[in-house]
Amino acid sequence: MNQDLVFSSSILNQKRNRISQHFSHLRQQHQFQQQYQPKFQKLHQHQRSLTARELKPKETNQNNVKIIVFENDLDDDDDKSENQNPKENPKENSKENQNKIKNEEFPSPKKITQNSPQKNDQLIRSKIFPIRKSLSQVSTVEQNQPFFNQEKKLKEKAKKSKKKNKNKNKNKNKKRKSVQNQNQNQNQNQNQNQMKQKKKINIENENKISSKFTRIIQKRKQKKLQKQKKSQKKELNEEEYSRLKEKYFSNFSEFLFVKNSTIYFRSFLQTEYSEENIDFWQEVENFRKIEIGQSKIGMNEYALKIFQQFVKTGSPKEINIDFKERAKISERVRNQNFDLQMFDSAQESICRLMENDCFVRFQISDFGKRFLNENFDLMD
Amino acid sequence: MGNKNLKKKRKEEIARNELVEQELKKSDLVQKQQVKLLILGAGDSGKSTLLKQMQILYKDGFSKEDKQLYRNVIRTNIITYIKILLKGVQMLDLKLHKSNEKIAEDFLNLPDIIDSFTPNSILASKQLWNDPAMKMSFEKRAQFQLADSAGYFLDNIDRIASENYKPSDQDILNCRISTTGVKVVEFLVNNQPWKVVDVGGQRSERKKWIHHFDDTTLLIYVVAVNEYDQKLFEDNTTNRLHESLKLFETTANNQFLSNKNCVILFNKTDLFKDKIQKVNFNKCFEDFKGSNNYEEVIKFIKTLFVKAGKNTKRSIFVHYSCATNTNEIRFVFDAVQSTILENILKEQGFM
Repeated sequence: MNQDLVFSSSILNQKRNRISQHFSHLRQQHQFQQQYQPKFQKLHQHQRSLTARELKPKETNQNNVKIIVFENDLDDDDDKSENQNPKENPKENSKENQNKIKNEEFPSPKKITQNSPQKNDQLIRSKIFPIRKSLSQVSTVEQNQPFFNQEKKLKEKAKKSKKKNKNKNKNKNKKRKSVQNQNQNQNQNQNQNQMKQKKKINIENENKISSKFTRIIQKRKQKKLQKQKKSQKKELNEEEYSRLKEKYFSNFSEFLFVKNSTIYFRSFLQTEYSEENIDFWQEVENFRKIEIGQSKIGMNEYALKIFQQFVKTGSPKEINIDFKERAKISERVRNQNFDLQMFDSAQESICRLMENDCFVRFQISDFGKRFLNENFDLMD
Repeated sequence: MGNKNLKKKRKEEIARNELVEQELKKSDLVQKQQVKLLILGAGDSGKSTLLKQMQILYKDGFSKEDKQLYRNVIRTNIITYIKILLKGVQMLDLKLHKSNEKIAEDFLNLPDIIDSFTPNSILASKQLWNDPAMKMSFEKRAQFQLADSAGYFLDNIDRIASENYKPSDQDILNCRISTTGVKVVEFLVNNQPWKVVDVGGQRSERKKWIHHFDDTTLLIYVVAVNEYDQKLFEDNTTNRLHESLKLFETTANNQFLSNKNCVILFNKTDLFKDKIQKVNFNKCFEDFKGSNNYEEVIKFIKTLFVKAGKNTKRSIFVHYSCATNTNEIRFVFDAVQSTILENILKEQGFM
């Protein structure tokens, strides 16, 4: 069968070339990745280990921003004994803390649970320091008191408790629980007493600090919300689509003045080779905004430019208008009788042309849907 | 380790090669199966109407949204038609009935938008349409630009003005919306993918046609035969039929299309039959020396067009139709299908 004759070999060759180019590019990319991936992985691992060392004391103590401030006084060696047990926070106490601190208008209860009562003690002595200072102090704390020692001690304790209970649970959480059970009774009485004494002072200090940090937290929340919205954008319901369509597509002349609408509409028109219509509309819209008082020469030049670009027969972006309108405008240009309203009727006819023909197809096209997605935020 | 990596690489390369070949085969198949129809012609000849007919024939007709749009367009068109006719009355120095003069003045100030289609304007347009002077200007509409469907809609003004008006298929086929740019619509005709290209016909639109000239299987050139006494929309001096003939000569002999088969569709024959009894064809074509009779005139036009596009590499098929008549167009497209099949057989060496 001579089926290949149907299509000229040149077209086929062109397509083959294109596809082979594409895949050679892909191959290069792949080789590059294979060469450098192990190196990158090593780098990443190194970075991770570095960051882990730096962050671990902070993370284990508290993730909250406040803690950085609490750690200001860690240089005082008095608190070392208390610092050794950051993981042993008795849950019951923390729950009590929650309830108390909730009343004190804290932004998020989860973060507060990480505040150990021992830390709260330090609040008495702590004053509000700039964050940078506190960060520099954190590094000094590391040197004085390596974190790994704490872990070792914990593990030893856990092993002991294992032997006693003879439970072979390997989960770390359960180990911690067992440790907690041991220490609960010891710490509970102390902590409760301390808390009762220092609660009132805490409130005052925390209020001062919270005013600073609530702003930061709020900003973070806003960013999160924005990200969520962006992810939601792709999954608009049909109802929402119809609602948006009614809002933006019901009136064409209003649609043209929506922000960014002309960009989307123009890129759609480019696929149909009729972008000169929207260009003309835009130019006339700009032309009308010229103030006559400032410079009449400028207006004349602008009008001439529009005439030569869009209206004159055989011009590069000739628009599809009636011969009568074209004659009207060209007569004005010939007589040097320029006016801010000279293009209005032509613009109106072009507007109607776009509304009835291209705009209908734009609404169904991908560009139209993308435009609606973009403007989803502006709805509310 | 090195050997393993090399083996992996080779396997991947082989898999990729297979992918490429599959894609090539697929694109070849699509190319072979796809039929690309170019619908060309001068402005207002009925190219988009053909596309609407295909929508009815090969797709499931018009959607609710389409109908809503066409309703608005038809209603605004009525106002523009009346305004054009009123201007025609002024141009021809005709005199309206005294009671209608004031109404006409108010009517001319209305803008051409859907909001001006109010009960008052409906009443006014009805009254004006019944005025004998307006009928006179309608008779002489060839002297100014009025769409061919104006008479159809103005006669049906009561139905269109009713609240629950839903445009019928016939209304939509008659409705005129001028096209800008190039639109491509895909159809499935007898399990064969058709790519139909519809274009704007005015002079400023013609330079955009060339973007779609390659890979065409068949060229459909539409000629409105009834416009032999009308002047162009974009130029008030050249005759429409002359322009159409010249345009066909240049496009059909274009280097991309000169070896493609061609269908010439002589459109609007129903309007032509009416007009030939009133207007002498000899006025517009002085070479014509036959009797002023439908069959002879159309024979003459046919020979003109076939001569212009005649070529050893192609065959030209001629059809007569009225684009608003679905049955006639169905017949035309059946014929088009058979010519496409013929095309393929010829190119494969069977004929």
